[in-house]
Amino acid sequence: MLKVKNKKVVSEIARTTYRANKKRNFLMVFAIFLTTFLIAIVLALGVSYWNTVSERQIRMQGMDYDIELSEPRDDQIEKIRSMDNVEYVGVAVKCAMIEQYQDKSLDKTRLYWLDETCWERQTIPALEGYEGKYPQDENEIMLSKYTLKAMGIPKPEIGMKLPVTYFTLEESSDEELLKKEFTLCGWYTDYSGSHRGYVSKDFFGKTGVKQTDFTQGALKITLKNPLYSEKDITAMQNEINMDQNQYIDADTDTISNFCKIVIGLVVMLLMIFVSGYLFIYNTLYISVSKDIRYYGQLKTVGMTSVQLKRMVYQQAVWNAVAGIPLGLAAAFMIAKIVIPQLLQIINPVFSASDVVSAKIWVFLTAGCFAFFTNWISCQKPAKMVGECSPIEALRYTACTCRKNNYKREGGGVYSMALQNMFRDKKQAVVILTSFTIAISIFLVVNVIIHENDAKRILNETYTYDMQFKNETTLDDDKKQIITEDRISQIEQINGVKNVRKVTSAEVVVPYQEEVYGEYYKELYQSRYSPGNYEEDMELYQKEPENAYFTSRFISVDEEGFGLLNESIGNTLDKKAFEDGKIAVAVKFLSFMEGDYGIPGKTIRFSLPDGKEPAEEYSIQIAAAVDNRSNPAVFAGGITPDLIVSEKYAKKLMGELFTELIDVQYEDAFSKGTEEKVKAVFGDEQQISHESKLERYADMKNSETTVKVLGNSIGFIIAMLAVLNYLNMMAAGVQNRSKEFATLESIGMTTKQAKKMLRMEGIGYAVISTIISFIVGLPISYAVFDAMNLYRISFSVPWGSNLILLGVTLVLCMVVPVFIYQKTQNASIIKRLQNGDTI
Amino acid sequence: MNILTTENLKKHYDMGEIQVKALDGINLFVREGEFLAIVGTSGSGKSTLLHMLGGLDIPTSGRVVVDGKDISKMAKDELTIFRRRKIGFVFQNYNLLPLMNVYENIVLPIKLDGLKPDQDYVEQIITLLGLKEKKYAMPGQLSGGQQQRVALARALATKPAIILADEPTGNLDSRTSQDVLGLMKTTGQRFGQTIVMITHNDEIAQMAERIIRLEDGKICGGGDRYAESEE
Repeated sequence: MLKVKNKKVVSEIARTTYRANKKRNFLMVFAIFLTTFLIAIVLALGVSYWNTVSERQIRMQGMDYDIELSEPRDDQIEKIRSMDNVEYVGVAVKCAMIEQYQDKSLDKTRLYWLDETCWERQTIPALEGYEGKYPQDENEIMLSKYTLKAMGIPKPEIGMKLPVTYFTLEESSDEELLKKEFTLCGWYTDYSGSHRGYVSKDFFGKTGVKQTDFTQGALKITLKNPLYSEKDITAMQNEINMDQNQYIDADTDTISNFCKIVIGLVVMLLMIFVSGYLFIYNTLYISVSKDIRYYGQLKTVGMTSVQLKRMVYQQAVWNAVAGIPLGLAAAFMIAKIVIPQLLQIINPVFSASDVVSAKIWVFLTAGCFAFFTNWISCQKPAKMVGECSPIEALRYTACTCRKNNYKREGGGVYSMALQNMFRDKKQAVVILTSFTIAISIFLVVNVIIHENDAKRILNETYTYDMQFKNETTLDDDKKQIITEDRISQIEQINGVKNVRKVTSAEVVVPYQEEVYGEYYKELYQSRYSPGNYEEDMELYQKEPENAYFTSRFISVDEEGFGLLNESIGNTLDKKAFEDGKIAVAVKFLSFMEGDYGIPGKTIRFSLPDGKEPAEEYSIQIAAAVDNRSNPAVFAGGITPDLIVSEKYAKKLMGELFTELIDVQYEDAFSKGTEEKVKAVFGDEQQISHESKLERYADMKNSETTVKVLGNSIGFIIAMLAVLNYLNMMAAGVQNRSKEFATLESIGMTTKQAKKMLRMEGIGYAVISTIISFIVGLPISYAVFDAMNLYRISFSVPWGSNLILLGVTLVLCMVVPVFIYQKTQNASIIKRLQNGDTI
Repeated sequence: MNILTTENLKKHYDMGEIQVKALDGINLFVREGEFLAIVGTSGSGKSTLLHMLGGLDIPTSGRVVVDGKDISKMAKDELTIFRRRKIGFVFQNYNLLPLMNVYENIVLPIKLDGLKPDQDYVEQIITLLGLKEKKYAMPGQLSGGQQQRVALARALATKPAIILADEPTGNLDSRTSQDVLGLMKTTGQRFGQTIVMITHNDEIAQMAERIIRLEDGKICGGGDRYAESEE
């Protein structure tokens, strides 16, 4: 065959056709622009969001490492350090506890010594920021801002003197209180919410604590590959010859958790990609459908299928060349300029320079994806163009017309609307699918954003807004500072929902093997075994009042009972509890699973500080809970604490000693209420407090970023859903120009046409909303579950979802009508004659 | 009595620097129940005139009065409703709605008027036009002649005062053309309707009671027959 030089003429026709269809090209370019923009911005913001949330998680942990070896020996450290899969190791040793600053009693503030690696490579990355330097001299100290605030130092200064009372954790020190004036050499902010400080090597040396001391020393291990299995840990254990009490703290679910997260992310990304693909595909499909008669004409005058296909591809490339760079530029602008600016406006102290990681790969991926999507989307329409016969093309109407008679006698506006929605089944499926995916992505993203909301995380982890603790609770000269007067003062504050009171007293529980025998055995077999089982039990039988064996007699009010009961699945009989017929036992260690046969048994006890110190009482134990359900914080000896009702405690004790109160506000995180509540205890030195709001305030910077990024992603995806629909509707209405003119010519008023379009819009919105919920909610749950780092309960952010659905519904009703008004204003005859050209 | 009149009707198009006078001062008078054919060569303005008569296009100047009402002064929706009730259109290319079956296409204008179709009447038209067997067929399943008969049935369904037919036989063979025209005439007489038909085919035009010839946007014969009697 002879080669025919026709490339030029085909290009020329393509150019002429392209130039003639400005409105349609605009829609195509817009679709490509939007898809490119969406992919780029979602990737850029998504990566940044992920980084910020991960960073916050590390900050909440306070240190960045993979696994931990307790009480490491030097030889073990060397061995681990030299292992292939280990990146680096750092040593941290808890060596002292501060009890008091000046006259102010503190929550136990733990002092650690960290080696250089642990400080520089494992601690600094987990800090939001720090001032000063790590302690070098013996009297230097670095504290968390959280601790400094608790000390009453909101604005610390380097070099300030801090006179404190502390005790060392050296095994033989017997917690003897010592006084020392430290010099503040630095402070830091993390989100761990724990009272902690760092000291120098010299101070650590003087305390006499060793890194191998039980529960004090730890080797923090950072692995080269943070995805490890149980097998890896066992291999490590086998190599380092571990002592009996030593253990490696590792999360063996790392790989499965990572896989879950990856699957969640892949599903999300896939949905976004499919959404982008359908968007481009649909616009191109509509555009070619509209042109098919024109292509038919070209075929009749001798253009071949190959030439026609080439024309379609050529036009697609021109659209891509215009749309992709625009989309990338817009994404870059939003990611690098708009969002950082927004962050700075919201939080002026914020250094917003590198918030959004607008990496080149993000843009390359987005650009390539949009180009290939555009290319693949062309295949079908190009095939359509190539395959149809000239006559078929000339007769083409964009509908899947029935082949058989259809005995139907409808014909009103409503039935027309319904028919129109599914006139072209393929297109209807594409519109509904892409709309459904867009709404589903929004649902999923919204659930993730909701899941990572710091307020929600804190609400799930704190049962109160503010807790006041009496630090003298365990002292010999304990003082009743949380008086009934003060409690009622707090209760009367506007904005306070309730105050839960927890009282406690020492309780002597004589040795009762039939009740706790199994429990003690388990406790003494555990890593945290308090000593020699036989010796201790012998001593216990002889001296049950020894502080080592006594425990706490805790009482809770009605609210407190509700919370306790809820934590164990509401299995307690409220009346029996109130009447003092049953109590709840609290296991000494939180990881002790099982109830050791305790429930149902009756325990005998006496109360040295009660009305009748010599009297022995008995009560049935209804449940054995772990320490997480314990409303009290001060611990007794190894015997399980007893939780009883306030009424019963009062009966046995007379006046109760209030250990702590939990205050709950009407509106969580209310600053106004918090200020008033705090004022009740004013400068009271022996009262420490723990505030959810203060913890939240510490997380503010990260929270601002998380929120801005998260909401931006949500907003952009919502925009996609809406714009996607808009574009499809615009193309759809223009495609039906001739039909509208026909309808008008036989008597359909503009009002009726608009009504029909509105009905179609509502139809699409309702169907896609229903499918979105059916599809989106299970996916949301799966993604939520995969990414649930804080074990919070699943909930759907209905507010924002309903707003999106409301906006969608309104737009679905308004947009087609608006497009109709804007495009169908030529005379009927002109529109009839123009047929399906715009 | 004249059911349709035009007064100095003009339609001019600006095409660059040239002004095209599609209609140039048309005065037309059509009596009630009359079957009128408008003939002329291609580009003579006959289609434009028909569109003006039916309110499908807007005149540059002049008046179109249908059943005593000046339609050129009507608002868009008012005109649509007026057209729905008073005028039936038959287009050369049928303009049937592809998604609706024959019956639905026919009754659509009645339903758009919020009325229930007069079943007897609709059945009568369907029978008369020989569409009984095709009542539930989709337009795509019909031949050209059948489609044109459906278009005619649709135009008749609302019992309009006037039927405007734009080359109704333009896409049909001569036998089918005769059939459709015969039916149009019969139904027109039976339901007392005025028919205005445009065609370029003289033979077809002969079936009308009166013929108007249009050239360069002007009537050159037959247009003012009833002008004086009206005055």
